[in-house]
Amino acid sequence: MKHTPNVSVVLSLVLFFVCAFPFAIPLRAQEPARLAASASAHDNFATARRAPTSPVSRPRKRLVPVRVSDTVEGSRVLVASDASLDDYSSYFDGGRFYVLIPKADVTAAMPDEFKGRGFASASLDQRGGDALLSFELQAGTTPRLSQKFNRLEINFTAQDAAGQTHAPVAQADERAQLQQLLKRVEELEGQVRELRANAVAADGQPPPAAPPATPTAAAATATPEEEEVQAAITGQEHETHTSGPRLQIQGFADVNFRASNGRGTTNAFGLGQLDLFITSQLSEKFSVVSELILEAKRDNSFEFEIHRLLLRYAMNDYLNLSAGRYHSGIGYYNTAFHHGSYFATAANRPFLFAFEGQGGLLPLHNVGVSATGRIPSGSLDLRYIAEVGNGRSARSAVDRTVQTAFDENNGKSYNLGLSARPDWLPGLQTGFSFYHDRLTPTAAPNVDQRIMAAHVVYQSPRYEWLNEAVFIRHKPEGAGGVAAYTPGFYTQFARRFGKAQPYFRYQYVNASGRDFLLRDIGRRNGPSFGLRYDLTTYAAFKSQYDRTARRGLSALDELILQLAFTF
Amino acid sequence: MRVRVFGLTVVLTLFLASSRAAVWSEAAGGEAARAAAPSPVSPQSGDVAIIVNPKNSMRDISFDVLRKYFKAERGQWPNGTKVVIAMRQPSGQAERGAVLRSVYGWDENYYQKYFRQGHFNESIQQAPKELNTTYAMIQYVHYTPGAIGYVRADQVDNSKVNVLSVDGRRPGESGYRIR
Repeated sequence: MKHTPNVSVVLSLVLFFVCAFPFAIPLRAQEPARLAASASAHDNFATARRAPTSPVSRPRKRLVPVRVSDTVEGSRVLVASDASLDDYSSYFDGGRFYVLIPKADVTAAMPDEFKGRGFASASLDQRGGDALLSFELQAGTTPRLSQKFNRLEINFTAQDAAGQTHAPVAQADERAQLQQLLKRVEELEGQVRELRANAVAADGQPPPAAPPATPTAAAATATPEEEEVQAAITGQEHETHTSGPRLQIQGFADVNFRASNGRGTTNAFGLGQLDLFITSQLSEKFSVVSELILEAKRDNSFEFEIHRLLLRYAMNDYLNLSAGRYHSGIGYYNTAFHHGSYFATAANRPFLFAFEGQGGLLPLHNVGVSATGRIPSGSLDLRYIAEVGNGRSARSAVDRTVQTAFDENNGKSYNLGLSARPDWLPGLQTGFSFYHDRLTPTAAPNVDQRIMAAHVVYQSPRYEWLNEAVFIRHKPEGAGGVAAYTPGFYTQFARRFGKAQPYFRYQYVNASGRDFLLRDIGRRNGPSFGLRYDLTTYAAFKSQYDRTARRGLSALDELILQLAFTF
Repeated sequence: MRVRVFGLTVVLTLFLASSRAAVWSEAAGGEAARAAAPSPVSPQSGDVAIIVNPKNSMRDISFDVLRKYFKAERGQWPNGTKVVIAMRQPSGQAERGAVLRSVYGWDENYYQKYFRQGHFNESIQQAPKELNTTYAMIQYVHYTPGAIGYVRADQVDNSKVNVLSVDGRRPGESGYRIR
């Protein structure tokens, strides 16, 4: 068979060029990384540098604002970034000195012109995808570049006509020495912190030798990142209290509009509770938590009350102790949502967890001591709670329900609870608690009170499903005392669609008619439909419709519109 | 004649191809040499390395336990040192997004709400520290006992921090979950 002479030749040439042509480009790029600088009118030592190339694509860099400072010899320009600057290049052209940083972004907030000793003018520009520094050097000025990781220092050494470096100005010399001393102080503080931490964790062994001092740059000029790190560490020290406790205050509040068909009620706007949540870290393990509530009453007066005030000692993950007034660990809702309605999905609390002052049937506040912590349990992640306190008063007409300063009897309430957060389903929590107290109502036998609560809740960014059941047993002491049982439960489901979160709740409580302490509550049950819409990260609008059936009374329909926010 | 031309072309092509491979390997070695510090972590696009203070003796951690540390459900390391969580600041940080997605399984809004509510209901003692740059993150973890943070795997400075393996896998290895 006859082949045209060109087929094989063409194939060979095609094969050759396919392999050779792409290779030509990287070949050219593999020139030596540094080239000698072309001499200019200046007798300079800066080396014009070609950036090393890499087959690996580099991420873009963000430059922090350029810092210019005086030095003994002249001035220093510091360029810093959030990534390595080892791909920079520098060169002289037309009497100016340039530094090119590839794939770097110059933000609008950064000054594009600056001055310093040794150069008459300088600018920082965005050239396509690169950042370009340019300097108009003064006569006799020598630029030196030093790069380490994400910092690039350009030192300008000014020389007089005789070729001598400028004599140091006394003020600049003192400033440089002061900065070196400050830098050394920071290093020593870092070593002290490490030694202190080692001493706390030591098991009798002598503390390790202090680590060597961090190598310093030519002069102690704090970069923005160093200042940021120092501020973060200093903030840490404030929390561990090398310089005294600080209050942190966070506020919660809500504004409501309510309308219902309840007899004797009117439509009204109203302020909800103003909740001031105050914390203070006294030391690494001791802290103070308080919750101050200012609330408008039905007579339009304001009432101020301390709803939480605790001194906490966080010994470790397995034991945290608190003393003071706290929210009882009965069930889940009370310790998860407290008073600020901002965190709750719904506009109001379930019947079961209504506050004592609003006719609630559970002892949601207590004064005493509590202990919480983890139980080593592997993937089950068990936690416990144990509380001892005054308990609540027996709903006597003259007593406030929360016994903050006076206990109507010598007996103390106790509450024990266990919860689990299994690893196999993040967001799931189940738990059980048992509460016991002895109530002393006026002109009535003492009552043995037992409250059992169980919960299964699941929370994720998209779903919320809360389920709780409570069982209250009141048994008057003495012969003939018949126990009365009050069951209650609620289930609440919510699903998030962006900023909107519709929800549904059904709740039920049936206070026994034999229970003279709770009979006024009767039976209440019914659904709630609502929508929460997050206006911002810190404010939400809620609209909710409640339908409540009541034993012996007509059903109650209520509309609640609420703006809940934190500040 | 044709055979000679073809043969010469093949030989030349093979020569160029082998040279190209040699240059690539040399470039890779040079790139490693130019790194700020030798790193045993192979640069893997997208992997985020979990870093801890160099005094932390932990070297491997299970993913579930790692999540618990970042959710502040564990307040202490096994040696008793207090856990300090370091996060990159919001506003489009790729590393923060990777950790939120891979470790927490949350979005930014839920993360913010979780820590605010945790502080409010006393379950979280200390909010995470937020830092703006990789350099600041590494320096902060280096100087703060008990700190845990994260950086891109190709930006780790092993002279200052330790990198944790997660479920026995280090950044760059197949099956590494944080990216």
